[in-house]
Amino acid sequence: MKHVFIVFAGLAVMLSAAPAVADDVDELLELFGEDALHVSIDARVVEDGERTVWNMELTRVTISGRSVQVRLDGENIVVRAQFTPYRNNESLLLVAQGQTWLKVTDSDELRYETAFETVPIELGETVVFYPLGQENVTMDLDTKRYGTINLELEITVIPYLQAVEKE
Amino acid sequence: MSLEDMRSPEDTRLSAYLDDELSVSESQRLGDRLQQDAELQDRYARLRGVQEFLRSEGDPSFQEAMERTWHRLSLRNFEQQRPNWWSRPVAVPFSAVAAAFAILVLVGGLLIRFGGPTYFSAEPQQADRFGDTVELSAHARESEELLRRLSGWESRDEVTIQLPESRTFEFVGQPVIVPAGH
Repeated sequence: MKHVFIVFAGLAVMLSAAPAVADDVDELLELFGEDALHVSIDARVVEDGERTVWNMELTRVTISGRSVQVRLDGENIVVRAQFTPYRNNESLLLVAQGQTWLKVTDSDELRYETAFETVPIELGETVVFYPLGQENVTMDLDTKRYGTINLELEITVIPYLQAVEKE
Repeated sequence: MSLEDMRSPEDTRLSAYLDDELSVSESQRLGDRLQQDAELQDRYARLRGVQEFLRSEGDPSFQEAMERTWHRLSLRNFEQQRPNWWSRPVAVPFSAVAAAFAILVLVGGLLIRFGGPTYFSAEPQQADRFGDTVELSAHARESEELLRRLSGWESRDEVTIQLPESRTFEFVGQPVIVPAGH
């Protein structure tokens, strides 16, 4: 009786531990080929139009039609951006929505700006979202300095499997 | 003092007097009578003794009271009623429990192995502030189901990035999205 019990228990443990489902994300993603997309967002604070003084990288996995949302909170600014990739073979349609709330320095004024763009790009091609606008770099001839600080979000979308291969 | 005696209006007033529940004038009148009436003084002393005894006693122990009651009843040949069968404790041999558990695990394992498709067992991980890669940790057998679930995920997982403090920003134009290099 004791031996029978041990056999039953062992069989039960083996069956319950059997890999009946795909438990590895790579194997899982191979199930639907290259439908998964790897979205890389590099948020940067750029000073003087060219020097990156701060940056933060974020990567997300999504699928065609599913947005990636990011929010940037600063001392006098809140930026919400939503990027939705729509894939068609090797090309991509990136729908980007951006909202910027900014408290004007030394004022009670609160400014709100919004942007909505549909950008056709190739997979791997990079687009940049400027929540505060794209600065026209101008140099002060007296101080030899460029303009103020600006914000940039650089977005790159590649197939997820390609990102895995890179890693 | 019998219960009948205790029910007299006089005792009610004395009790109220003890509890300081009488009006000032009533209390004064009763106090004057107590000075002169020896019988009333006796009743008052008994009531005060009862009150002091009750106050000196802590909260009654219901468990002890119950046990005392059952003890007294048992002395009179009463028997405590047995609890209903569904509320009685049941002793089951350990070997029987172990065998039942093994069978349960076996059946569960078979159902998992040969049953219908198994879907997600984990939610997507939330990225922290930044720099984290959000990976899908999921169990799925059918890609269609996986895609459906992916599409069904709420876009609640907005990632918040905290910009460096002591930096204030200003608009330099209209927000714009452009291909890099433009």
